[in-house]
Amino acid sequence: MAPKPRRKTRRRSKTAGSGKTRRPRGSRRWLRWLWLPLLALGMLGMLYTLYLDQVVRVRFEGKRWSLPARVYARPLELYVGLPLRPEDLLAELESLGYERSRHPERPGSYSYYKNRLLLRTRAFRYHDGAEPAHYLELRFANGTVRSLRHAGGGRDPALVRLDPVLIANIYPSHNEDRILLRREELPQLLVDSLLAVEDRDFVHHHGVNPLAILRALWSNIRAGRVVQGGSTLTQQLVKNFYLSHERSLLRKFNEAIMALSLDRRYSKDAILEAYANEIYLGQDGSRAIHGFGLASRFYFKRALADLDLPRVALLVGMIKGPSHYNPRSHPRRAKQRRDLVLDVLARQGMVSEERARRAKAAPLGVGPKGGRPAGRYPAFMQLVRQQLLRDYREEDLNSEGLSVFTTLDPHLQAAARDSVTQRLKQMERSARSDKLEAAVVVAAGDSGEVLALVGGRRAGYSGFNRALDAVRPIGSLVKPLYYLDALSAGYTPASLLRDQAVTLKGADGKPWRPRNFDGKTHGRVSLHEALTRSHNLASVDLGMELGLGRVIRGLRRLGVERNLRPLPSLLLGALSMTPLEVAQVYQVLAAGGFRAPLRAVREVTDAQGRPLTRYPLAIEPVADARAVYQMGWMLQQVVERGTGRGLKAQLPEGLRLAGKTGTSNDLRDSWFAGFSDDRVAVVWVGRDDNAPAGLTGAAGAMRVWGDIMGDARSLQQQPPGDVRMTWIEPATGLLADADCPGALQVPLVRGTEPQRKADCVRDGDPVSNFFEQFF
Amino acid sequence: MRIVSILLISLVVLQACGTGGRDRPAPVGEHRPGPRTPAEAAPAPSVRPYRSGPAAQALLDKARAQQASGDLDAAAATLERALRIERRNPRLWNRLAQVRLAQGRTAEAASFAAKSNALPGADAALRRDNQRILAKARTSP
Repeated sequence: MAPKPRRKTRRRSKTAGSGKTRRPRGSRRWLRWLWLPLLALGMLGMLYTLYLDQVVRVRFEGKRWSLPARVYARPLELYVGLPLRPEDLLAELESLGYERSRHPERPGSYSYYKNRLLLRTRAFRYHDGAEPAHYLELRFANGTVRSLRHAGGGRDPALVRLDPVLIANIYPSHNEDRILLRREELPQLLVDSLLAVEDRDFVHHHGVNPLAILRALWSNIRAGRVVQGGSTLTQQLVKNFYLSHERSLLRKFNEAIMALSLDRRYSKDAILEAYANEIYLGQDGSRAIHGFGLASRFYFKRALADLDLPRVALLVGMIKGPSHYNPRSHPRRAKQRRDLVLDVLARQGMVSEERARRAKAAPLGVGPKGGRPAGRYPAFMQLVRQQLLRDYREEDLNSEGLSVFTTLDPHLQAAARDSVTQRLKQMERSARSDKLEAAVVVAAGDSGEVLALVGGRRAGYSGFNRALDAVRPIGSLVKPLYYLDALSAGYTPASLLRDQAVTLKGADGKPWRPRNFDGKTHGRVSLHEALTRSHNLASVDLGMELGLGRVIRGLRRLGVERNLRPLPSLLLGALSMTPLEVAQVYQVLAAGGFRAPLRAVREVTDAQGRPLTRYPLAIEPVADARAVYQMGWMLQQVVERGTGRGLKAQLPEGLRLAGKTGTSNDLRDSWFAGFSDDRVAVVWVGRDDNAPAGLTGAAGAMRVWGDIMGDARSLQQQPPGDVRMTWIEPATGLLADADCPGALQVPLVRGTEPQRKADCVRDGDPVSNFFEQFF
Repeated sequence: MRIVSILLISLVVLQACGTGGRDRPAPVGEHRPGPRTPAEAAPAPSVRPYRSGPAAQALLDKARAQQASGDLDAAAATLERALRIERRNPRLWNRLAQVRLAQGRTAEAASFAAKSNALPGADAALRRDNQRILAKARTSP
């Protein structure tokens, strides 16, 4: 290119140094072209920053965490006279995570020695108000609470409610969990340690701390490896909170921008609070442990406020790598890390050298890994969910942090579960059967509160819930239901029935010839005998006399909702129900004729403890109390002398219970349903493939039932007003007296006694006998 | 002597007539149809009245205070809590019936009153009160 003509004045060369050529003027145009993309980039960058800022704002202020609903068992209520063995109370305290020590000093601890329990309970907020923490002294005698005192003096409390055992959480699908803490609730020691170790200049920086980064860089270079991170708490929060765990330069960059945004928008307190609740601190199976509140419970079984210096130091130390420093799996590493944290604290003057030294000498203080609250009672939880979903949406249950107070009795549940496990194994051996399954439902008789629910023999396995969903023929369990109706239709327990061969029209018009279990006929039998021994022929006789229409109406009144075919086979239990449905019907018999819908939830409160819903006690009279009493007496005879008499070997002497065995065709289903003064329980044993289990009700289900009812309250003997125990001669159904051979007392409603006396009574009184023939 | 025998025989005859109005004896085993009188109308013999234990009593007192201050739902909850401790206490069922009645929930009140009456240990005063509640529930729509 020919040089352009030079100007007279010399222009300073743009480029430094001599001998370099000047930049040609045409390059400015080139630069101009550079402006546009730079401007575009700059705008993009701004937009991107704004976008990240939005993300920060929306995430932070919107629904921050999904809080699972916390589900609690029934609280144990302590009072003088409560039937409670000390070992059972200790087991409850164990489930509650109470610490046993020589001298209980903090809430959540106890000491027990020679029948004397010193207990510091935790405060708890119930639906109906707060139960304060107590310091109590309990003494036991003969399996009951003999005395209950305030250990610190003052008037004896009449009633103390323990905090309830947490039995489950209803998680959202991503399995997160929190114990939310406010900024005020973070112990100062924790905050100091956290800042000292993770972010010294937290209070001053603006989200990102370049000095810290440089400092870290310097330490890392000196050490030859990564010993320090330069991330602020804010950056860590962003990392935990918003972004996935991939570590790339872009992520770091985003992190920094979002941290700046966060710091600009929110106070240091808000950020610290979020951090304390968000920080990832370990794994419990598929459940992630986030936040100091939950971590404190998980590792130490204590509230965060109750942690001492060594424990706080350990928690803070774990932030760097919760799995790497897991105190349960890597105790030595964890201890080293903890001691390092203590050194830092001492060095920065947060704690004295002396205190740090003592803390370093302390053991890690980690509690045993408690059973995961979620997943221990899946069958019961299904019932809980069913009830809740009538009033709450699935999302509310997963994410609003509700507290759900249920009716579960963990002690009884454990007994039921253990019995099923052991008994099924035994049964499989003796019955030469296998693949046996079982279901159990236990409820409080008067209120219908479900105390225990077993859905199958594999505990903790959430699958087919046989208690709720296995629909099986109930066999002889149906008999008490229409026998009850008969007692309101003019029959008495002394009425005579015909236990004889009969041919009736069955399904499809084919002849149906029922048989007794022993293949025999028994002629005339009393109604109570027919029930006690479960005579099929007599029962059919009774049912046909009542009429199938009336029988079905009676079943409906008791709450049977299933499809009922008006066939004679119905009288022998050609009727399929679930164990829960059976329990509902037998609950009426257990409660004097007052039906109470079975329920698993008592109350629900929100995350702050404010009451939301209460499911009140509701009863309804559906059967005559006197007939129900008579039925209860007869069902007691089943256990005393009838098909259920095998129970007596299992039960404590003198325990009066009522029940009925049930066996379906070909021994496919083994049932037992019955009640005590306080509970009603139903057990089913059978096979999922409906093949014969080879067990009668007595051989199978009854065994499990006996295990569960062993500590129940004995049935009371007091009949209602106009029911009298009356001597009857069973063979004839006539009035007898104490001296008549074979006579027994049966409960009869006044005015329904037989008119005539039995021969054995006649024999004693010739004068009136003489005149009787004229009347 | 004969007069005495006749007198004696008459006495015996009268006595025989006196014991439970004899009809023609019904065939044994046949059911006698007849509607049952409702449980609430049945009078009860005097039975040892039920005494509330200290725990139940403390809750009774609390429920009374709650009812007095107008918090009927809380009173019901307290009584239910007491019933878990003493399920056979007729006073608790009666009190619950009173609370429901005060809330205008008459069907529930009637059920609880009937339950209270059906329990042994309900003294005469309690029964009268239960009857009162049942009567009120019947007349209410």
